[in-house]
Amino acid sequence: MDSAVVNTVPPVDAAMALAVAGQGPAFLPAFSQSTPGTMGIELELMVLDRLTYDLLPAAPDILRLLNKTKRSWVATPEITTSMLEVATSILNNYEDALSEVEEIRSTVLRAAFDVGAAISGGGAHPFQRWNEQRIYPKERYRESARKYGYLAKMFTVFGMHVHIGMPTADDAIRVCAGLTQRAPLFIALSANSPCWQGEDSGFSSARSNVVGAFPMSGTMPGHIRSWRDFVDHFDRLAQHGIVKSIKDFYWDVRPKPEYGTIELRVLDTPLRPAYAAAFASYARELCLEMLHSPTRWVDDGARDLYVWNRFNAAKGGIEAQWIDPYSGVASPIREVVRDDLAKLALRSTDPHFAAARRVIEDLLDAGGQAGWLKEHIADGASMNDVARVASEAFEAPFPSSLQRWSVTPGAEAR
Amino acid sequence: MDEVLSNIELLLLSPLAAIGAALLLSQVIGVALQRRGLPKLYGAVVAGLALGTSGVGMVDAPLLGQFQELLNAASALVLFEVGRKMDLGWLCRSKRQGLALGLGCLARGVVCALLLWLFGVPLVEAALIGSILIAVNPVVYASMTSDSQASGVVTYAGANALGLSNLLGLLALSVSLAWLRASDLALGSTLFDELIKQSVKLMLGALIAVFCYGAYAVANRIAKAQASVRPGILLAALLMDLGLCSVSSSSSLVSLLLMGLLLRNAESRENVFQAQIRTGQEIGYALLFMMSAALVDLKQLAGWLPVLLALLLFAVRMLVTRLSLAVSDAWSPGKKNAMAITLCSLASVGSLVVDTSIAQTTGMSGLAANVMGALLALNVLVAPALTWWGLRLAGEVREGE
Repeated sequence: MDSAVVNTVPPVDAAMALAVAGQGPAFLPAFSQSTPGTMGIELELMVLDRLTYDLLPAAPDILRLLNKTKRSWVATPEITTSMLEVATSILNNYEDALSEVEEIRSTVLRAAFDVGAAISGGGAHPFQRWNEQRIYPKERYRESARKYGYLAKMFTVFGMHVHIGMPTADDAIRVCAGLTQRAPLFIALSANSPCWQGEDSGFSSARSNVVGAFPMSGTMPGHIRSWRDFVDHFDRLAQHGIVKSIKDFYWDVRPKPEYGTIELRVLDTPLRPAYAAAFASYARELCLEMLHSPTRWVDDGARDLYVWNRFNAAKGGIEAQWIDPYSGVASPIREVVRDDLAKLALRSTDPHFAAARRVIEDLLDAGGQAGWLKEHIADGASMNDVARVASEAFEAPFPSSLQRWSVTPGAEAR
Repeated sequence: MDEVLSNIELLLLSPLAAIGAALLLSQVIGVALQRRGLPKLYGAVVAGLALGTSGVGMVDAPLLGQFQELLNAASALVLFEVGRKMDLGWLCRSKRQGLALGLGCLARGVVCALLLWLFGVPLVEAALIGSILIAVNPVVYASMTSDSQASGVVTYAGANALGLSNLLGLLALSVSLAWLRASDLALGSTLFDELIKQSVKLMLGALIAVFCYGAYAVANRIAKAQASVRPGILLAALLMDLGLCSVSSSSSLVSLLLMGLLLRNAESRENVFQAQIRTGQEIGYALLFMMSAALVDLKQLAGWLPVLLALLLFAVRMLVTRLSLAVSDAWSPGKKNAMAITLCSLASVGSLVVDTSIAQTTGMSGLAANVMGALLALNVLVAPALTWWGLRLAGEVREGE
């Protein structure tokens, strides 16, 4: 009986894999249910040369060593060989998240060190040249390189994605739309890529500008207000051959039906893994609040407002202004985040959310990660030096889950 | 008219013009080879063979002798770059990887020396050649990685093995040289005297390195120098080091190697100097290698025993390196094979070790001298190609190359 089913209906995973690889028909799986508020974190990490701190194409060697270790999280390749992606298991709260990202940090560092590489967080490498990057030797990535041309190598940028579990497909679409409006806050909060191709870009998150070059980037269209709407939209694009799987949508926030989550995709990979846990907790609390609040859809004009908010956040980081799409009131992002955290702390059931809040507030007080890197540049640091201090920040362990800690480890090495 | 012709003749006889012409030829041939996807360094090989001892004899040992000081400085600067790429922290803390690379260096020397001894080379001479065979040729390795724009774990480990092998090679060479001199009855000195003499040279070189690095660090602090201006201060310190080594007859090779090592490891912000003078470096490599090739006498490859022994030593060195890498499991078997091949080149008395004291070494028996000659010829002809192939085997060259 089982074998008959297998013979007539292709397994979902196989169909999905073929669609993602661009080798099978378009495929959108049904939305899996998941426990609201569970979360997962994906981090794209830089693999660096320990001498020059330039990108080093050693991800395959590091993955070979990681694959020998027993762990609950996963490590996978990315489009170029200087990128390494790690993804946590399903997490329930800040404490879980912190302990797992710290375990990932130490394990990945050890494997990288063994082959003579360093690891760093950060959204974009300060001085890498896109044309010097090498496509990972795997058919899926070669296909991407053929499809997107130079954009594939330009996509050597490093982001953090947060998955939040949603109970139903319609809830996922509703929260997806709500979280999208607040995505610029996360761009600002995580911004740490002020340099691009060897120059000070004038932005706090230069990485944020790279994704916009891809088709299907931006935000989920405003007319999608239910899972049915989304499926119709997918089918329409699939008929034209524009999309084959959910992975072809480079939206800032998108549903992820196979996991039963929505995925926030705008963050620069934090310089310290512990920030990732704190940012994910903030996103999780926001989503839970939206899930249990009445639906608020933005009007058609909000799209331009979003683009402006996004640009401002990428440019100015936490010093930028954010225009509330519902009220139209402009406020400093720093204040909006603080207000959010205070409000969410009142309703949060996570006993450790206060610790996550403290990490974020310390970061806001210190001027943000981009501000810290810009200080180094202003002090006369070379681009190699900027890459080095970022790598040293990643290497510094988090002292203890509930302790206050320094935002700028290794600053004395300047 | 006669005066003009005589002037032209004079120009052609100028040692500098002859070297310049050889370098020009090596660059032209090198670029043509590179366009066909072949290693550019072979331009220097062809030019050196054509114009050197094996060819028309325009660039020969007496001519190169006029540039001895320059050659010494160039070789020492190459070793500085080697030291600068040595990551002591990684070599020590990675444990198995550092051990594998160190073991490879020592095993190369010991096994080669034993092999030579078995083939009838006197033990003292076998030890001297064994010491030389510890070292990997920095010009071949650096030039090939630069030419192929290689980058990755094999390239990184190779750079560390290169530094380690040259450091250990220089130390072993001092001991074996002392032994060789002590066994020369004409000199009338004891092994202890010779060891002291060699140690003083090394120690003095090390002290000069520490002093010059200190001067560099102090100058940076006083000037509060930013990254962009630190290379200028560094160049001044390097010149100082070379000058002090020259007047004190201490080992400039050890001194400059240590300068690089200190720069790389003493302070983390100095890890990040980018080569601003890459073109200059590449021309320097081509010049040094062209000079090495010019000294190659292809007749050395005529005798079957020295050639056979040289080929055997070449193969055994690679095998021993590969076996030593088995100590670590950080690299895949394919990468280990590639690493053993990329580290196949060897330094020689005639090319890398141009330290005056060693260049003046005499008294090698016929077989030892012939084996060294054949090894040098093989090194010039084969090692760049093998290194180039090894980097491709590792998959660490730039895409499309």
